[in-house]
Amino acid sequence: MSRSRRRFLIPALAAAPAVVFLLVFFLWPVIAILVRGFSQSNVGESFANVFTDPVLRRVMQFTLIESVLSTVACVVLGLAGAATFANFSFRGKSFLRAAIVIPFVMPTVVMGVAMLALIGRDGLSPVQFSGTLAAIVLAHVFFNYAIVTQTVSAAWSSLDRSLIDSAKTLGASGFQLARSVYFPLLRPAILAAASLVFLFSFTSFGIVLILGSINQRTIEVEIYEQTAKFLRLETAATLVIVQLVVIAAVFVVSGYFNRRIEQRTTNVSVARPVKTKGERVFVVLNIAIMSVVIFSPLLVVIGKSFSTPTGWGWQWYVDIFSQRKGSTAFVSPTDAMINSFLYGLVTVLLAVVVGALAASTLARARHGFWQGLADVVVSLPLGTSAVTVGFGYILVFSTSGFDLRQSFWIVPIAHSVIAMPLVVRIVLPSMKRRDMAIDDAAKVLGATWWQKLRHVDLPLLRQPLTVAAAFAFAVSLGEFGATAFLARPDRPTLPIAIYRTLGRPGESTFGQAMALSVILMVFLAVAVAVIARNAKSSDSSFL
Amino acid sequence: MTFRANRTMRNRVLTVFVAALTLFVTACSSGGSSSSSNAVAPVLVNGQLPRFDEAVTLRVVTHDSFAMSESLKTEFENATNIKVELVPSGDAVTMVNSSILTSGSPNGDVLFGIDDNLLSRAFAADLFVPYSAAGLNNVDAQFRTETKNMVTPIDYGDVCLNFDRRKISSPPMSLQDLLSANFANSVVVQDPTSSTPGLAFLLATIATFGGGNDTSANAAWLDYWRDLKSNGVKVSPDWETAYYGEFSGGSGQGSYPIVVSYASSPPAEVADINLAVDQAPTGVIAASCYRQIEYAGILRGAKHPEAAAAFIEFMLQPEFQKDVPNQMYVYPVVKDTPLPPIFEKFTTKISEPLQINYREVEQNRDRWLQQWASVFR
Repeated sequence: MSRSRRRFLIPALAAAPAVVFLLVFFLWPVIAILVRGFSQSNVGESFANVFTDPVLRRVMQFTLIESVLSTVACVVLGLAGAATFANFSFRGKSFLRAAIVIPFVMPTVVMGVAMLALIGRDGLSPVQFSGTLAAIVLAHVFFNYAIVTQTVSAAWSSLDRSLIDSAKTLGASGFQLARSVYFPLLRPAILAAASLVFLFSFTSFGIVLILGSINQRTIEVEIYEQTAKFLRLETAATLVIVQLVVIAAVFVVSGYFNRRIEQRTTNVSVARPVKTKGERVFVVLNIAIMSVVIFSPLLVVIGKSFSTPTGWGWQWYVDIFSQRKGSTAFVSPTDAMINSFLYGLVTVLLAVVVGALAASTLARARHGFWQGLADVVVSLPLGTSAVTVGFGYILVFSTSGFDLRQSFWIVPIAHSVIAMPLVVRIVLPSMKRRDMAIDDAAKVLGATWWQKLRHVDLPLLRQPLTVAAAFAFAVSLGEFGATAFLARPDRPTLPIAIYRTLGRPGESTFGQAMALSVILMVFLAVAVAVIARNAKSSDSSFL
Repeated sequence: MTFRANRTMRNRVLTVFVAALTLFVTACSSGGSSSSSNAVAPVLVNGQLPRFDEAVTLRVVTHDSFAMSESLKTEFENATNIKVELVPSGDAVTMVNSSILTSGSPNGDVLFGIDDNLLSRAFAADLFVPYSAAGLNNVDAQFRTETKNMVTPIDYGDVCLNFDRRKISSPPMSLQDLLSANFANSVVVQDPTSSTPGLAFLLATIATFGGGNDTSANAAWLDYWRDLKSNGVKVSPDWETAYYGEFSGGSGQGSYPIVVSYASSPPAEVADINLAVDQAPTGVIAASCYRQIEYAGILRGAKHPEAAAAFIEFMLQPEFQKDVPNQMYVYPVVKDTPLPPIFEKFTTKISEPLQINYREVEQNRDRWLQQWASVFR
């Protein structure tokens, strides 16, 4: 085989699983539902109707405003957090890093209720502002903070120190250093994280309904209602396309500014204890932000789970194992944990392997256009509402000839479709920055592809892969929208158990939902800690 | 040379994908669809459930709130040789809409939990085949809606305003009372466009104040909502947020003492059955109650229509009917079914519930929701 041919073949093969995956488990169901939506109508007319409807126009405007503000707030706070984690070591850091991922998996209803207890009318916090744009932005920071800190601090700690040292030697000021060295080097990671936060805020659903006022609705909310509540698939299909176009545009723009940067990566931790007073203030300030924004709603949930009519106690934790026993609606918490764990494990394997392979192809692509396009396509599943995918799955996978809905695999497959874009975006910046000289050295020294993978690629990519695995697990653990459509009733996950519990009235029911949520939190924190430990990072406080 | 190699490869890869996709599509479209719209024949044998010689698996499409005793399910399975598999499919509206999407090649054999407000939509989509249940004779006449036997009533529930007794000593006696200054900033309801109880409460106001045929912005019921809005009504997206997040009586969380919930919610808040009735943490405002009946129907294209019919008969038998309140917080439709003690004691009897005929609801629902939205959005 010619050299040139092999150069194309290997990346193409690496991307093949991801392409098959997206075609069968994403594009096909979504296109099926869009085709159904437009089957009896004029596409141009549908768009004209949507863009002239005053209510829908307001919805689109609001979605844009809300997501831009959320992204700015989240990136600013998250960058400060990333700087803290990358540069300083302090007691409790590894705990903190694991804990800030927790919001990512928490069921929206549970967190919404917890936030209402803080910032709702007569809430615990001194300022009450539920029903405002600020509440929505704050909630988006809560859910997405970890995306920025984890992505950026992983890139930060693998920065080429020699560049920074040279700049310092040459007498660069702090500001010059930030502007001319840190920002250009971290730009890929920052843009990757920012576009993800934008996407999650743009497609935000439950939390906008709970914390916003009745006028504040996102396009995602409209799509859900038009599909699930009114079965007006035409309007829904139009909005799905509007949403996808906006998100694709954001990724194209971020890709344009994300030019390739040649830089060596290192895996040497540079975190050190704080020295100056200014550094101490910076670290304390960041911990304070995390405590207020991230931990206070979580603490509300923990508090409610132990608060019983007879004082503090374990009653709700006992009740979840016994109270509804004997009913078909009973979900054993241990079964739910086992199911969630199995789904999560398969999702991590599928999404990380398929996603990292796709990323390796993208990193190698010479042509910026194709790279940009592939990047956008891979990210589309994140920008498509769960109800569109869910109804699409029902449409194409539930007929008797090909009933995937009966299978165990449908859930981890759906989770992987959602997690894969995250994996690609987390791994890609580091792959792009890879020092190709090491690759060439390995080849010159006669390493087989396996030896190169085992001794060169994987060690160099350990940190981003670890972060990606943790996020893939988190996505699977917390996913509700698609799971609710697809999970077999005898295999409910923890979030499904929580929603089923919350569907009934009663003080005990509420306490049990809180107890299950705490179990979900602990479960994720343990899983993330285990993944981080298995990564055998030189920086033991990673994650 | 390089260019040509690339293109061949690309074409080959593309061919494989197209082939794979075609395969999937064919596998899908060739799926069986027995489109017999014939009625299912009676299945009871001398009033007893039939026993199938060969074991069959019956798939029951339900909403997420469906529940029954595990022991009853086993009893049914042992008696009939039918294995029951539940298929929870979201809330009632989502369940019906996703079933309409696959009408004719359904995701199960029997559907449970469709309520009056969704019937017309399901009938228009030809979702069910008729079955005349023998058990229907025992159903209280008021629940035997004219549905041409397409669906069978199984249970009913009343959507009512609940109030927090700790905060409200003299509750409002009517919907009109909610407009008084005493109840300013006190009421939380659900958005009728997204929530089933929210829609029921909207219908309650239309049934009470009238003007349902008035397409203008001055419909009588719409005036009521305007007044409610200026009196500080809070609109939540769903029952969970309203009841657990905003209502003060649910678990002492929120600050609104009046919420749209169910007539069966107060018994759920009672921890001790020895409590005096007027000491229950929450109570019901009877004049606000809107009645909803839940039905079951055999899905057109079902693989096991006879087994589906057997399950419907089973749901009308005394054991299942007695099981309904504790499991789903709704009430049995069969006459003289005894209620569990805690429901017997703490349920407010709703003698004159508000109701609007399901055909009228279907004809006007979208317009009513738009009119409502013009006030609130």
